[in-house]
Amino acid sequence: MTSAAYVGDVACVDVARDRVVAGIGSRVLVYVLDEKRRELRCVDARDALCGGARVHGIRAMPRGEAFAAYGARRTTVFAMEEVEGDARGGWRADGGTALPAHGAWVHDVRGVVEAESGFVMTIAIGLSDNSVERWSRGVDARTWTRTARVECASRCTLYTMALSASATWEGMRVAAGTIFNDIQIWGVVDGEVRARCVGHEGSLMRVRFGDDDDAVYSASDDRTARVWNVSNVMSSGYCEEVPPCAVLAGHVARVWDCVRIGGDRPVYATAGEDCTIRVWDVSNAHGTMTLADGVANQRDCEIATLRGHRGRGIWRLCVIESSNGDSFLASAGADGSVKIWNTNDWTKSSGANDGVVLRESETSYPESAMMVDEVEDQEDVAMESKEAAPKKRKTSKRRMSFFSADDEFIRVVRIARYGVLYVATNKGYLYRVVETSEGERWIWERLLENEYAIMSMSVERTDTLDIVSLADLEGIIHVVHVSQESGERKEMISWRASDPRVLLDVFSTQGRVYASIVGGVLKCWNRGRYSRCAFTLVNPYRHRILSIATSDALHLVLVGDQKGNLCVYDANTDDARELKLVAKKWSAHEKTSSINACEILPGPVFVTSGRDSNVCRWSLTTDGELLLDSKWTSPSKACVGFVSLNANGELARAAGFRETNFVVYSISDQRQMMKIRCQAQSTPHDVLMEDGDRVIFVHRQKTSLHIITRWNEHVNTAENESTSLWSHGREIHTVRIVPPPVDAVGAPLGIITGSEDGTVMRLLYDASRRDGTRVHSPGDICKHPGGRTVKAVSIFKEDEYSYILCAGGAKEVLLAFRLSWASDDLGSWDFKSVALIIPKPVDKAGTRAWTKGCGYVEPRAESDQRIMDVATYSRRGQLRVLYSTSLGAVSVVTMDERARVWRDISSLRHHACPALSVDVLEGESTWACSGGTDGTIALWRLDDSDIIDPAYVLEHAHQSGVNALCITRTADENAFIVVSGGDDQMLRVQEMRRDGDGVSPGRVGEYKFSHSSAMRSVWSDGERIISTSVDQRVKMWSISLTKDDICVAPTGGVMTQAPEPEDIDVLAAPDGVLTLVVAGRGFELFHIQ
Amino acid sequence: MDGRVNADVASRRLERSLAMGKSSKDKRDIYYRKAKEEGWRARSAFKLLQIDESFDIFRGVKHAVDLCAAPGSWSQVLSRKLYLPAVRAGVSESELPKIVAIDLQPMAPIEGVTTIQGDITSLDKVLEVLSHFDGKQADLIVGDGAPDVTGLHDLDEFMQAQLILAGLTVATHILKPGGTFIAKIFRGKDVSLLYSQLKIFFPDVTCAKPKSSRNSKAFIVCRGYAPPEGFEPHHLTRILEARATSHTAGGEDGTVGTMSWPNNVLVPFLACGDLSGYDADQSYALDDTKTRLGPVQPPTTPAYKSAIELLKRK
Repeated sequence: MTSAAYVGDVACVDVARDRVVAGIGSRVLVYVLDEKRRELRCVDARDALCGGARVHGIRAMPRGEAFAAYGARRTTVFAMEEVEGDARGGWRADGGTALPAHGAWVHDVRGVVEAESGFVMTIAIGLSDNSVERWSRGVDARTWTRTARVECASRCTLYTMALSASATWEGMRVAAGTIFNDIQIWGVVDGEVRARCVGHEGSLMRVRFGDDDDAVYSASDDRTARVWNVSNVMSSGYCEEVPPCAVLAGHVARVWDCVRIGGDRPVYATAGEDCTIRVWDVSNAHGTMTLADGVANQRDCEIATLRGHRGRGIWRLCVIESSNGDSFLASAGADGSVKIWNTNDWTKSSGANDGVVLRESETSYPESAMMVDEVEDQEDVAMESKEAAPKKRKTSKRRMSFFSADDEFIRVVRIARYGVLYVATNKGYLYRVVETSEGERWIWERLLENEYAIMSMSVERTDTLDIVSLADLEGIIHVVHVSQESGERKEMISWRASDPRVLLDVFSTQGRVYASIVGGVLKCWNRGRYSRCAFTLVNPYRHRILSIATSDALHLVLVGDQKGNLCVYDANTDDARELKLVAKKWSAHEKTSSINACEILPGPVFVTSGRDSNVCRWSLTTDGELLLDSKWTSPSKACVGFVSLNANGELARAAGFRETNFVVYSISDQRQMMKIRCQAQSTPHDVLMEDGDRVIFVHRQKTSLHIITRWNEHVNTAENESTSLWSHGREIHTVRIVPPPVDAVGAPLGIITGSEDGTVMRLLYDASRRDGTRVHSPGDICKHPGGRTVKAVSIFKEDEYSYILCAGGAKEVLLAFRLSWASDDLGSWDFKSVALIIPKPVDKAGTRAWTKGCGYVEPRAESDQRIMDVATYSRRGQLRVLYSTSLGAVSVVTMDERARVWRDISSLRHHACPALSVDVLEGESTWACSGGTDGTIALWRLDDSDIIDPAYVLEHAHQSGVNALCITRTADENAFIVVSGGDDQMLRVQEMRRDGDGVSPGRVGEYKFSHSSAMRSVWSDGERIISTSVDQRVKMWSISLTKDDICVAPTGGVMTQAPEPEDIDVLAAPDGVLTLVVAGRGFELFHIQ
Repeated sequence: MDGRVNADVASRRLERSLAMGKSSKDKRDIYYRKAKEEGWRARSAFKLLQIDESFDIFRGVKHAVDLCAAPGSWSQVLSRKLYLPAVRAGVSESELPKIVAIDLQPMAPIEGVTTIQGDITSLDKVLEVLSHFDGKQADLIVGDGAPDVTGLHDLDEFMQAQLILAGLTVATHILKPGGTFIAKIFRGKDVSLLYSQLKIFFPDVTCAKPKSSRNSKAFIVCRGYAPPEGFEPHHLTRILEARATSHTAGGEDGTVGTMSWPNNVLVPFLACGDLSGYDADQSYALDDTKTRLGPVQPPTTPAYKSAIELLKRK
């Protein structure tokens, strides 16, 4: 049985020489940081600790000759061997030398620069019983000897301890974080406590020494992190009480780690259970000595909150200084990911920033060519070029000082595309502003000199042309065609659209030009036929029309006005000059706030966004009423001015302003994607949200235009194959393997997991890849609409390429998805999921709720039961789903795919207690079994009757709950066996003999002490059994049927890295190799020969 | 080890979740509701009662100790099972059973229970217990404490084991030979080591799973305290460490204890409580005629209490 991959909590991350080393399960993964792309590339993986111990810490030796990985009672030292012929000084880790197991938990390891005489290396190991041991390695390089042990005079059990960097053993200091809310500082010379850092109100969860050893950083249960100055305590000769010099309060759950990221500035990063990283600059804080001060100073000190992790929290942070002086922060999450964050902003610039600003440049109006580019950070310009892949997460920010002379000012700015803007001014001038190919400057070309001021502008793109429509003060519309390639003005048409001074806005979309005129009138012209107005429409509420959307396919026009009213018109009017109103909604947005943007989606579904921070979806009833489908409110109450759709035509993003911030949200992910801070008194002008996650944003401050471009999906994160691997970050209750099609050569396995966090996830496993990267392509299939907890999933095979996934969980909600395998042009296989049945959750407001990956779902009466286990089988080619619940109900349902609902088939009545597990055996007649918390196993013959009574009941098969069940065939055609595993640690094999339509019990095999804890899951093929238990072991057993009983004998076992295993799934390959996946806290894959 | 594990601070975190508020849990949890109706401070009272049903742990007990007692539901059980029946039977003052509860947290008084506020790992406090027993040794030591759960599963299990070993340290000082020790366990990865350590001192060790206990929780019932010949309490650390070393030594290949078990770690399992009775994992419909009951004892203070209050005030 060999382990192939483990995905789970990253308990630690640290830097060893130039590499990032992360501890995942019992292994260490070595990454190279690509600084430009801010990506981690896995280059090496090593087994570090035996006995299933998890790596809780990594520490590089001071001279860079080795690093230690430690956790539980164990320490392993890896020598960093130089790779010959590598000019960049590359190294690789050796196989590692394990020290003998310690008597207590290892909390920290430090290399001592001066090794003990006669030894080549000396390390100090800090242990949870508040002691430190010195271990030295002999010349033979394999053996470690304990050469000293010092116990602190104050004995207690610690959750955390840190050792200081020290050239000598005698100079080593210890910071011990106790559960009595203080930190004890003691030296290894005498073990006497020299100082107590007092002030925390909860147990200490992490302590660290600062780089200069004068400072100690701590993180605690009381939701704060603190900084302490301990520079002089060792000399005092008595035990001193040290107050904190900074209190960082703001996390909304326990804090797990605190590091200093500032060079000269006192900037710290903390991370914790609330899945955020918070960045603090305490230079503005005064007197943060108490918790109250810390809370009061939060606004001044907390300069950024970084989000991106999910699940149970972020365990550890580490600072990476790159060779060119950039600094990064790495965070290790319970979700199995290591994320890299750029910290230059906070450590280098003076002001606070909220994103990564890699470059800021300045250019100017053409007449004043002496304006210099102030490129703050001379980043690789090629990265900024138009050819740059949009996935690159980069930001550029540039400022153009403008119009140095006279009274000309900018009225309108429109972004045509990346690197091209159109600017119109009060002088009636239209400029085309283009970025030079080097990306250094912007070039201004005057395209038009109009007599009157330009009031409004709209830009539409065709394949070769930018079509710029302008509305001027005189009521004249000008349409200018500009070649995209040369930037030349090709053609210009002007016509009077209205009386002077009443033409307010011009829109151009889908080949039409619209003019919004005072009094809520909208006029439309078709392109090329500007002589004749195509139609007009009138807003019945008579307010100024601010936004418009049209759909040619649906023949609809949607307009939103300044006071939040919404109107839909029928555009299918052959010759009618005025469009017919189809539907209207008064005050569609709250408090008569303006509707700034709208869209029509297929359906039709109308999307509007308004000043009231809401993005609403409306549907049209047959009686011409607009019904609110759902409402999304921007979490920071921004005025939403822009929405964008993704490639599938679904609503993807919304953007708007809040105070001086420009904020972009991802609606599908329900989170903020980015925030751009604008200077005070600046005016936002335009934003372009492109498909490739690139956002271009222009705002004007006085005479300067600021053009900000961001590639960004997650704020300030970089993700690639290795770092983007993530999982739920919570307990995984259930796992299933989706086999690839038989003819798909080299196709990966699909893995489906369901978790406590209420999501169903998918990943791929590719055995042929390099160790450390075999599991890849994570994604959410859906969020369980019942709320928390997906307890069970089951996979039903339709054909080689198609499977139906059923997932059950809280509130008795059962979901169905179709998973379809397909290969892309390059021949790589992946499966896609399509929702089939999404039962409807209850929404307090009674409106349909948007659920990620599921779409809109109808409300449904809430059930108190929770689905505990799910099994699928086929009856006459139809899918049947058998599930059990926490109230002991066992039911069979089938899928009505057309109506997208479940239809009840049978009710299986026996259990009076929660039914924990079910399994099905298909055949001529279909048999099922179910197990309850009272240790009873019921056997059922599934024949589609409405009500089914058990065919046989095995009373008290187990002393306590039957957690695991597997029903399988044997060589005997007239019998089958039921393999069960209980809370009572017993493995039981029961033969059932068929007897007409009924069954009767046959031989029994039991193995009482199969595991040392509750069994959780079993799998069997009739000859072998694989079982797992909370004792974190996976065992294999053989079944042999003797004359009178069944003999169950252990044949092998292994410790899994996934703590608290809950479920297993096995896939047998034709060559007899079994692939086993074990899921608990994380999941691990094994190959069994 | 001489056991400086600070169980009591840890225990209060556990009780944070168990101490009962007035919430919708009423609807879901039968034992929670029953506990309030019967005046228990926490639902865990039923666990001890059900362990007693199977093991008859209170027979002949004159001196009992509750470790990490707050909020005190197990002390309540000791009081109602030992002290109150004796009072009703008219036993003379000097002959009444003596019960001592220790916790770092202050605890509301319980009839017949002497509470000591202190750290169970401090030898002084342990010896203070003996003074309440007039120098006699304890017949029964119980402990329902659990450490702070960090979410790092292996660390949590380690800390729980340290807590039990701290309880064992107390036992080696004050438990009468033949006495009983009951503690909560996590049946995790290294539970077999804990079993084998306890088996050095108790010939009869059973893993008990009360019916009122949720699926993962269990208790270790150690009976017939019989320390090795010539044992002195200060030997304890060395003995435990030696066992830990020998236990893990065999597992350098990662297969520790995966296959066959040595006899000293074979601990039988026993489900306690009436199997036909209520099920802790099941929800029972709430009888609407019943009024909602307030908590018997309000929850203890969490570490972040002041942080939350300050933030709210802001």
